[in-house]
Amino acid sequence: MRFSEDFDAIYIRYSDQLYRYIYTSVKDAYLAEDLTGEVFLRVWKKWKDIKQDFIQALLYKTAKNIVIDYYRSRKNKKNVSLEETVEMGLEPSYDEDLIEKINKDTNIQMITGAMSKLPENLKEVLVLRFVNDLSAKEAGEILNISEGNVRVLQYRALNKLKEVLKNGK
Amino acid sequence: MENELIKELLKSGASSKEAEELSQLTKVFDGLKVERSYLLKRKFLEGEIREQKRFIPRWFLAPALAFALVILVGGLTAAKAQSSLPGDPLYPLKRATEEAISIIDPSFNNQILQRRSEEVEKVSQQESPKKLNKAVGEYKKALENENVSDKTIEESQKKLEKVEETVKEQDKEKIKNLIQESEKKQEEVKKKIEDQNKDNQIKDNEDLKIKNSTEF
Repeated sequence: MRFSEDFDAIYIRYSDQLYRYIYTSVKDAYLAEDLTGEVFLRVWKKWKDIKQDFIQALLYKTAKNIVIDYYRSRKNKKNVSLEETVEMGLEPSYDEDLIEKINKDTNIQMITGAMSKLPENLKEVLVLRFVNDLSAKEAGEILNISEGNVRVLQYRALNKLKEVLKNGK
Repeated sequence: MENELIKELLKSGASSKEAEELSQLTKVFDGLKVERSYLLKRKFLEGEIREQKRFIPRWFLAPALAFALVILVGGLTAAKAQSSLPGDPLYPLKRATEEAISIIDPSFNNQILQRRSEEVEKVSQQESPKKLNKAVGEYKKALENENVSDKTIEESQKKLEKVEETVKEQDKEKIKNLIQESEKKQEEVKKKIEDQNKDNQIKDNEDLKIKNSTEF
């Protein structure tokens, strides 16, 4: 069995965004690929009941939950559970060239390291707004806050990042 | 995007210099704007998905496991309760189990009386007057049951007689009374059986008479 055409289109459109969002949290390019696949498989399971108007926010929320599950399982010293991937019998694949590039890029390492020192809400705003280029409205929908709040947070986040980078040098 | 961001930052309270600076800072994120290969994406989408139908639905698993656990713990506790003695915390469970069995099978009351006599024997070795009193009380209760046979009473009585020989002086009287009560009950049961036999014989004779008179 394969996915439906509309699901394929959603995957093509959003999977890179989610990969970047997850990568900035887990800082492991292979794991980010696994968890991105897990996000889409979890969404696919409920595809028939999903309102596609809100698909972007739903994908990010699912990704956030999966990352939380990952940290929880790591804290409990359990193996990372890729429930849907295992259940659906999918073999994980990776873009080895890209992963090599990410792992060697000192700029990427520096910025992800700096972002990890920020509070979670500020880090999320930076990723949504400046890594994934979402509008303040889209970011607000994902974070369940108003556009105005997104702007306030991004101002605070950029200042904080500037401070972290300055101190890091 | 850059101009828009500067406007947004100004609205948020940044000075124009600060807004300009922060807007420039966002360039550090450019390296993170990675894109995975189209081939990788197609591979994910075209991979065969083996949708496994669960034989047991997931929502059913947790309550089923909880139920199985309750049964298991209940079963283990009930099994452990069978070796408990009067005064032990699990003893009421043992009595409840016995009562349930005796409702289904009244002859089980014979076994109950035997168990009570064994309990008196065991408790008498524990030097606990409180427990011995309880065991004696439980024996008396079991003795009152109508379904107990005279043979079982005799067997349990023999056991009590052995206890009487070994028990401490201060408890001898209790066991002695118990044996007496047991003997009394045995007599009652025997008499009841004899009366029943007599009644049956009279009835048989009457039946025979009626049969003979009709044949003539």
